[in-house]
Amino acid sequence: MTTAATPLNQNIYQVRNLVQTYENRRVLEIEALDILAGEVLALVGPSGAGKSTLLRLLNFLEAPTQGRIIYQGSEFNTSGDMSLEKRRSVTTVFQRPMLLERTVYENVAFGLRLRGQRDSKDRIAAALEEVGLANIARQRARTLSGGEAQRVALARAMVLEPDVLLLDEPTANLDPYNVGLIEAIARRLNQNHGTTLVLVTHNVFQAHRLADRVCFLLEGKLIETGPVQEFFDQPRDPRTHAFVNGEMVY
Amino acid sequence: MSKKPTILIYLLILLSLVLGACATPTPAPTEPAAPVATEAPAEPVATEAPTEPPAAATEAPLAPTAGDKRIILATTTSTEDSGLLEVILPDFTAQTGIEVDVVAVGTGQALQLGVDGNADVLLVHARAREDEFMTNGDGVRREEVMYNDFVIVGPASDPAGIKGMTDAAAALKKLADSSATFISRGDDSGTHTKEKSVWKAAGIEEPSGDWYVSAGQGMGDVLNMANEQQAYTLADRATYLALVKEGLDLVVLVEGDKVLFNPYGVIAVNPEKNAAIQNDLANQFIDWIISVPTQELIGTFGVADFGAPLFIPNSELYNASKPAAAAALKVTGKVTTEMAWTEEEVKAMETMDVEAPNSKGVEETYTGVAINALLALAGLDPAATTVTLIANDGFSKDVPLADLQACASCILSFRSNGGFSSVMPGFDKSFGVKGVVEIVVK
Amino acid sequence: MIAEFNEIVLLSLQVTGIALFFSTLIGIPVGVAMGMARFPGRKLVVALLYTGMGFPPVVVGLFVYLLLSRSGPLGSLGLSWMAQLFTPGAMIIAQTVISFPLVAGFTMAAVMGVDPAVRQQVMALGATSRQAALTILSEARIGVIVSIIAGFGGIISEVGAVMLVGGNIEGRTRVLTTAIVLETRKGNFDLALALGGVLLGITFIANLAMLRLQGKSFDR
Repeated sequence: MTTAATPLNQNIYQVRNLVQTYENRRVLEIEALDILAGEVLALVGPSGAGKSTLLRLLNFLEAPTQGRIIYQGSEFNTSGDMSLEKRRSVTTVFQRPMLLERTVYENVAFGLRLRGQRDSKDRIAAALEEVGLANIARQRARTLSGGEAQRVALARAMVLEPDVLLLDEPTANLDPYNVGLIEAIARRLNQNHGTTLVLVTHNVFQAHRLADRVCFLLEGKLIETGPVQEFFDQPRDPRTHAFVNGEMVY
Repeated sequence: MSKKPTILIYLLILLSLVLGACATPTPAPTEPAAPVATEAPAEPVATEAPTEPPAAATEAPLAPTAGDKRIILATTTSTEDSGLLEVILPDFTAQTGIEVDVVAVGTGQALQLGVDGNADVLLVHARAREDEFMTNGDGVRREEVMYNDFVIVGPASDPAGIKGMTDAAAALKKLADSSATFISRGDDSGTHTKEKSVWKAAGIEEPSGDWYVSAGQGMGDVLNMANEQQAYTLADRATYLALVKEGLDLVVLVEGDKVLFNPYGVIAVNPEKNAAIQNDLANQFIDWIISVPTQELIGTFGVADFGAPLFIPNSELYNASKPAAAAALKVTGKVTTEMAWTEEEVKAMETMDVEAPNSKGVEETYTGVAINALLALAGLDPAATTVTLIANDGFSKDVPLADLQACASCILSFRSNGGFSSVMPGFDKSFGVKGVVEIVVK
Repeated sequence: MIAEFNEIVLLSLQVTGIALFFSTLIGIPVGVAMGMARFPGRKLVVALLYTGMGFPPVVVGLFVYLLLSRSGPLGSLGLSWMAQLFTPGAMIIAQTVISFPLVAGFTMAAVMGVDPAVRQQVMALGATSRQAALTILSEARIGVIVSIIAGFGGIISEVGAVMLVGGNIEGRTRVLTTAIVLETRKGNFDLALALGGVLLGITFIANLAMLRLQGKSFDR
């Protein structure tokens, strides 16, 4: 069982004056954003809003151009340094499952092997059970359908028992059955283990279904943050209003 | 998913590699393996131009028909590498209009090309195997062409100390005894065959050990290898001299032994082997190469570059054309053993200088061999009384044996253009016989 | 005869095996680095690598020959540990130089063929840079195995360079390809064909073995 390094409802992330630039193009510029331990935060916004960039920064996959992220008390800044231990308490499930050319079982075991944990058969079996794929553990990952593959990706992340699970459009292009399965798994993970979830989605309904709080990003800037109900019912910013009501042209 | 085509490409590369590996080792026995050196048709025309300017113009249109007549000559690398064929073949093409495609390989492969009917004519040097080839009916005509000689070369420091030895077999024995590194062609070539026969003569059936390196390469490669390792080897003089010009450090240590002579033969392949064999053209080639003008051309090849011919002409026609070329000297009659020497052998004997008047009465110095020494070599019969000197033109002169034995300065002098003359100081000048070929003891 | 035959086959495998070991040892890390890293001058290095892949082996042989020759820069130093001409060591050097660009080049191509998002995912799962590189190498393993086979095929069937630097010495530096040349030159087509068959067989078996080996990792 995870023991979250940060008590519930305290800031696990503090994002400050964060700027990311790609080839002189400013794709992200966030003055301040706090993420609470144990919450489900949805990042919504049109394509190119900088949601995925923020997620990569939250997983310490790239160094910011300016500013810093305080994660569990450690600072991640332009140097791009973060201790391996802290890095390993965060993981991401991307839109594409990016399974390795191995069996389903080996894919799920992959992250544990990176951590030198080899005797974790039960955990792997439990994770596969959780995503409903225990029967195809020996199958090659390449042969799976899109929904199955994404569930393997989710199991692979879950088995690591991370403090933070970042989800980058995890259900885009999936059928409603698999969308439902994955959302249920994510919800259980949050509720049973207290895992902090940050979900990037362009689907406001999914945000509505899953999130405790919602952030709206537009052109790299944080426009509005609020509790899910408030965010959808009484958006303060007209742009948020337009996005939520599907009136934004993008 | 996007990686599938990449794997396909790899598999294709793989396949090509496997096929590539397959293509290399598969010889095509039905076709000559080596590319052929083709003479440019324009070349013979150009060589003729200075002597017969109008001929060039009339011959030019003939070139296309000349291209129809081709023969394949399988020969050893030595004739090709030395540059001999390049010099003499244009003359053949100019005379006959026949193009010669030269396949230069080891003697073993050259003979095999003949056995398989893949060549029309062979020019090789491995006498025993040539005879076997003829006996087996693989060839229909064989002629002597020329010979060259082999030399034992090695580092100037000569650690085994064989320098100046005249017996090649003894020299090899010494190399073996001192375990001096010796590099063998080891490729069944004519040179290798010769080397093996000399080892055999030295009483070593199968040289082996760390010092004996069987290289399995051509003469030039082996010489370079010997140079690198400062080792000994047996080489044909032509290739050796050619490489010395390229900076080879090795020196000749043993030469001149008869066993080191290396005769080349030309063989017409049996036309029954293959319908494509052009026996008539092969015969034209043989007739040409043994003809006196070609033989003389062979005899001059290399003289300008190396100061000595690389190949000595040796066809029957050529030898017959030389007046008493082998001006031998015989001692016959009442002797213990009748003797016959070649000119070289006589010249190799102990010589002496004598003063005597020439035909005009002027004193001159003559060099030669004492007649008494020659008689002693044959061993005189006690009953002998007279010695008859016979000249090559049939002229003869009798000398009382006692008078001759009393004359220590009576010699057979060496004539400047070959042969011997008797120089008999104190005798009448009629005893001076020119061109003595036989001494008959009576 | 049989003993000599075996000796030739064994030496071929030894020389090629050792050369391949070295070229793999250097070539795979270089290929992985080239396939993943972005640094100034990378294009030049890639161009050099591709040139090396198409480099005529016999020219490599010539260079090694001149290098090791008694009058060459290395040979003239008289270093006792340095491989001498006409020894298996010289052949190993030449074959390593020939196969290195093949191994490195094909490995690089294979690594570049792996989706860059794989690295991001692997890092997100908590890999160190080293682990990420190894994972990508493992993802590219079919290509890497092909690179090794390419290196193997390129040198086991190569004749020019080994002939030059090895010298085709019986019992010491005679390998399959040079023996085939020699036997063909001697007119022993039967033996040449037999040796050719062995060479073909070795190449075939090596390919099969490597492909099987890579199949195993799926079934583990």
